[in-house]
Order: sequence, then structure tokens, then C-alpha cells
Amino acid sequence: MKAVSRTILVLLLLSAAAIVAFGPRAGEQVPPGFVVVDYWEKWSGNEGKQMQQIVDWFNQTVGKEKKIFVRYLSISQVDRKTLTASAAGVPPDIAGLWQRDLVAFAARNALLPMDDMARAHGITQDTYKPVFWDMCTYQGKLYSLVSTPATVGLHYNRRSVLQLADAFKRQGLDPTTAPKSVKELDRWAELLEMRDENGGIRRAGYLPKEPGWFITFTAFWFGGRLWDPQLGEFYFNEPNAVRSFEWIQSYPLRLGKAALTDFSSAAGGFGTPNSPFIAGTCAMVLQGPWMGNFMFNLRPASCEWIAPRAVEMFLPRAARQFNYEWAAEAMPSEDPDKLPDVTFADADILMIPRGAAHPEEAFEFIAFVQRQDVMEKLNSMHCKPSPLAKVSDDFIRRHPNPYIAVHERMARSRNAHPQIKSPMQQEIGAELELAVDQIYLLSKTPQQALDELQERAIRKYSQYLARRALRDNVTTAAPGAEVTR
Amino acid sequence: MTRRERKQLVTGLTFVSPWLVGFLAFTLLPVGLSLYYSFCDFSLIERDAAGNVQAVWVGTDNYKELARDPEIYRTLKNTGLYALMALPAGMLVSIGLALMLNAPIRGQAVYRTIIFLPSLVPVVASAMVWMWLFNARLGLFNVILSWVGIAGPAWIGDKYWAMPSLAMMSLWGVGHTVVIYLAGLQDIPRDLYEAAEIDGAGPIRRLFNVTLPMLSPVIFFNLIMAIIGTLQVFAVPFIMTGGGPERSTYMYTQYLYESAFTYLKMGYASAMAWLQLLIILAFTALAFWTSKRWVHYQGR
Repeated sequence: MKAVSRTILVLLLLSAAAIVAFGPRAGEQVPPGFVVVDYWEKWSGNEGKQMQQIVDWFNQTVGKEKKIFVRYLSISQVDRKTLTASAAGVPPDIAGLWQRDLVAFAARNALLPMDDMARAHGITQDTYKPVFWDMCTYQGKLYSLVSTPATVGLHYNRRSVLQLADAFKRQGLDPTTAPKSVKELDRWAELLEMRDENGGIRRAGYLPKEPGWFITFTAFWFGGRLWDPQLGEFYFNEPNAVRSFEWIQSYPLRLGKAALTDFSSAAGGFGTPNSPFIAGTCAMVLQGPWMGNFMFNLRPASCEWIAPRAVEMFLPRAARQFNYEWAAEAMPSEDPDKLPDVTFADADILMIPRGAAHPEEAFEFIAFVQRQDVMEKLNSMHCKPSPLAKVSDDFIRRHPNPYIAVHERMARSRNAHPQIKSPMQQEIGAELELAVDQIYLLSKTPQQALDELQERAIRKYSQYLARRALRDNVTTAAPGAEVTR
Repeated sequence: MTRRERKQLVTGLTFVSPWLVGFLAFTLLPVGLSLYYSFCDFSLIERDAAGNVQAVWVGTDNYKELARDPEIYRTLKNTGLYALMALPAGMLVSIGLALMLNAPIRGQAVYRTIIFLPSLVPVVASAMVWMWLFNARLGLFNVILSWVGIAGPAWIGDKYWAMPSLAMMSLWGVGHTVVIYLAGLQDIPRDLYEAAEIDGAGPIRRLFNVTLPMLSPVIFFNLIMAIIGTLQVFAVPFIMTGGGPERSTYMYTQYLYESAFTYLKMGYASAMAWLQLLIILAFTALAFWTSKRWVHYQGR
């Protein structure tokens, strides 16, 4: 028995020694006397490595000069973890979250306003495309700055369209340019559809729920609006919004609910070679600029139709687009004359949570990311446009996405819409998704579903306002009296 | 208390102190705080002008809101429906499997291992496998149904079939319960079966008059655990359906979780948690109350 115990003890000691000798080492050596800025970010994999390059660049230049060392930490569910760390009073110095998180945090006074620091660094509203500056602010204060932005547009399978060029021409459609209106998009979709003998969808033309990430914003393409932050009003059941959801419902009505369910069951998830657009089983999708990277990584042949990609990079921009089996253009709206270049704009943002240990140093890094050369390098690697007003020709010419100019144009458009800027954005978003489900699965007419949605949104918002009023009363009438911790 | 006894007490407390501190700090304190926060407007991150985390007392407002919130009724109905399907099905299947595995047959240990194995698979992994099994076009269930000319439903993609699908999937993890039933079955004295046989009782009679009454304390234990488990169901629907389609599988615990961490309504979520506790307590008390009529303990 003693021998067994001794053997176990020796084995444990040997394992410990092995871990000490060959185990993991700290990734970075912080130079003595440097302030360490903790930066939590959502990206892992390639995107994470690319951001790490930017962090290294900072550490070797501005950081070295100002004695700041940024420690990049890739974190899953970064929003939840920032939330709990903030609640515990130990938030990171920089949180790399999604734009949708900004108002929820800012409205609860959990973020540091950046106005003064931004001004001191020469960062102003004019530095940005209006939509991106707007999404970084809440009630007139600047609470974040963009790291990587995006606009969404129609991505279509050019090769499939050109194969059907004659059929397109017979219908009076031009197969060499993207559809110009929603009506034209529907006709394209019908032409591109391929059904099997049982009525199953072999290739879809367009499906509002493929992938459906932006389906709740469809009203923008019909001249609708969802919410007015100034008035605090919702417009879910106004005629433009209802028409947009009627358009969404026209797809399951035409194709059949069973056929749609069957199609989506067999479809691979996004980011896999089996996802419908990449596999060629859905000819048109509403997607962001990152599709350029996904197409290249998951279906390289689609980016080398004529010449190898390495050669293509030396071609003029217009010529480059011929080398791709896919193309991108602004998603057509209901009325292209009145509503050109409609898009939904979103962004990954950098914020400083209240309670952060080194806010000034954190902002040094955020300001570094806003430099034109840094911003263009980062967004070129992430295959996204730039949020800055000023963009170099080189950025457009050498960008891995040959359609980046389309995204740049949409980002500058007056019809670029950001996320609903409501402190209850997540809750309202969930209600919108329920309405979409009810409409797409044909359980309710758009008018019914949207009337109910409007009612739910108003009820929730009134409840939120009542709570805010109560909070304001407590805080102003008797500071500390009813307040804990 | 003598000096020696005092010393022993201190030694004992010292040894249990890690657990004690853990229990106080990570269980009792959060439970107490959640009760307090259920009477507050608390978002986890809301800060006052001085930068302190702020919870504002709102009295019974959160509880009143529970009564007005239609989502509470929807999620309670869904969770109740799930419990009504999964609980009896789980009990019947696990008792049935335990009875079969208790029979003296060749390869008994292998069968027992096979039945227990699925309960060792992590929930997320099982959920992913079952999502494929339920796939409308490529799923195993619909492929098998198609062999006999039946066009299978969309399972978790159909609002009417999603809940039964989840209840069906819950049977995947009955291994633990089966093991408990097996232990209970092996504890039933042989002489009771011999006496019943002498009295002319057949297998069915023996099952209902000997096995089940003698197994009733174990059934009761598993019933209590199943009530608690099904009324708190979260992970599987959250992963497989996300509460859809059309919130047909939106469970109470998922709503609670989202209220707290997505909608930042921690005070409201705390009130929801206390309501959930009361509901579970009520059902558990009901089970205890009825147990006097159907649970038989050997020693009494």
C-alpha cells in the first residue's frame, strides 16, 4: 500500500515538474513601467489574429512611445462577460462589442463618454461617414468608436444569371446588371428557381430568410421606418412596413411552406461550404461585405473565373469584377428613384466601460485604430469598408472584396439605416423576430402580426419609461436613500 | 462542552470551512440577494452619477408585472406542456427499461451499459445529434418514415411538432433514472415474489402487486427529481429551437435567462425565479401529499 502511495506521489511530482518545464508560457512580455490595457474582443480565428496584428502594431509604435501595452483577449460571448465584469466592478479597459449593445449600456450609464478624449485627439463627426458616427452616439454623447463596419447588399450568382441570359432577355431583363427594384428582384428570383419533380426547391432564386439576418429591417427598402428615437415612437404597422412584410410573405405563399422548410432543412449553416449561396443552391442573398472572404475561403473557384486570384489583384478594379462568379450591388428597393442605395449599416465597436482602470490609455489605442492607415489595414483584412469619411484609392483598389466600392457607396448613402437605437433594442428585436416567424410561417397576416407587434412594443416601452421615471425620482429626490451599493 | 470537545468542534469546522464558505458566499448569499433584487429595478450594470451599481426599490412592482406579462403565461404553458409530455413518458420508459434490464438474460451488463451511455454524452453534443435526427429532409426519422410511405413532419421546425419532439428527445437521457430503478428493483426481497407465486399470481399481477408497490419509494424520488428537472428545462430547447418556431417551445427558464442577461432586467428575472421556486414547491408538496396513498416503505 505504501509503495502504491509513493508511486502516485512520484508520478504527481513528475507531472508537476513537466508542466513547469514544458508547460504554456505567458504570450507576451510586458515591458516594466508600462500601463497594461486589457482589451476584450469577440473575434477568434483569422479575424482575431488580424486584430492582434493591429494590437502588435500599436504596442510597437504608439504604445512604446507612451508606455502603454495593450493585452488582447479573444472572448466568446464577450457581451455577457463584459456585462458581468462591469457588474462586479472589474470591467476590461476596452470592450469590443456589437453596435446593438451600445444603447443598452449607455442608457444605463455603464459607459464612459468619449467626447472630450475624442476632441483632444482630433476625432470629430466629420471624420466619419454619418451613419457610423450616428451609431456611436446616444443622446448627443459619443460612447464608442467603430473598429469594423458593414453595410448589407444583394449578393447574386452572376454565373447562374448569365447561364440564363436568353431567358432574362426574353422577359426584358438585363442579366448584366443587378435587379433594380423589388419587383424586378422577384422576377429574377422566379427565373433562377429550379424545382424537382416533387415540387421541392433545388435552387432558390431569393429567399427572405436565407440567411434572414436582416429580415427585420426589410421595411427600410419600402420607405418604412421602425422607430423614432426622438419621439420614442414605433412604426411597425404603418403602411410601408406592412407592405414590406407582405412582400416577405409572398415567398412562402408562392413557394409553399413545406417546400421552404424542406429546403432550409437540407441547407448547411452559414460559414460552411454547404450554405446555400456558397453551394449555389440559392442564387441571391442579402449579405455583408464579409461574403468576399467567405467565398474565397470556402469556394475559391468562384473568385477565379478567368484568371487566378494572384494575377487578378494587378488588374484594374472594373476588370477584377469579371473574374468573379458572384457580384454585389445595393439591395433594390420598392421605388429605386426615391430610395436609391438603401442599406442596413452595422458595426463592431470599441467602448470603455465605466469603472475601467485605464480609460485614458484605453482611448489611446481606440484613437490609434481610427487612424486612416490603421483602419484601412484592419478593414481590408476583415473584408469590410471603412467607417471613415476619407478613404484612399489604394484601399479600394487593393481590397480583397472587388465590390468594396459598392459597400462604400451604400455606407455614404442617405438611405443607410443603423440598428434601432432604443434601450430596449434586444427586447424589441425579439418581438420583431416573432412577428417575422408568424408572417413567414403563414400563421398570421402581416397586418395582424404587425398590429400585435406594435401593441407589444408600446406596452414594453411604456413599462420601461415608467421604470426610468421611478429611477429618476429616486435619484433626484433622495440620493442614496433608496439606492443600494 | 469540554475543552477537548471544543477543540474537536473547531477542528471539524475548520475542515468543513471550505464548503461552508462556498455555500454561504456562492449559494446562500446569491439566494438572499435575488430575493431582495426581486423587489428592485436592477439591471446589473446601471450606475448612478458617482459610478456605483444601482438597484432601486420598487416594492412589489416586479411581481405585479409578472401577473400582467403575457410572455409569462405563454412560457408557463409551454413548460407545463413539456412537463406533461416528458415526465410521464420518461417515468414509463425508464421503469420499463429497468424491468427489462433486471431480467436475468445473457449480456445483461452490456445492455445496461448501452442504456446508460447516452446519459454520459454532454447535453450540447446530444442536442446537435438530435437536431440532425429531426432534420425534415435528411433526418433519420423521416428517412425511416419514408420507407413505409409516410411523409414525416418538420419536427422541431413545425410549431405543432416541436414540443413533442423535445419530449421525445428527453428520453435519451433516462440512463441515470434507469440505474436508480435497477437498484430499487434489486432491493425487493425475493420471498415476496415467491409468496405471490405460491398464491397463484402471474407476471402481470406480480408487477402491479409486488414490484411497483415495493418500488414506489424509488418512483416517488424520481418523480420529485423529474418535476424539478422538467419545470426548469432550459439547455435542450435553448440549443435546438431557441424557443421557436413562433415561441412554441419558449420555456420559462429561457425567458428568465433572457430577461436577466439579454434584456438586463435582473430584478424582474429574480422575481421570475422566485415564482418558479414557488411553483416547483407547490408541485413537490402535492406529490408529497399524494404519496401517503401510493408510496409504501418496507420498514413500515
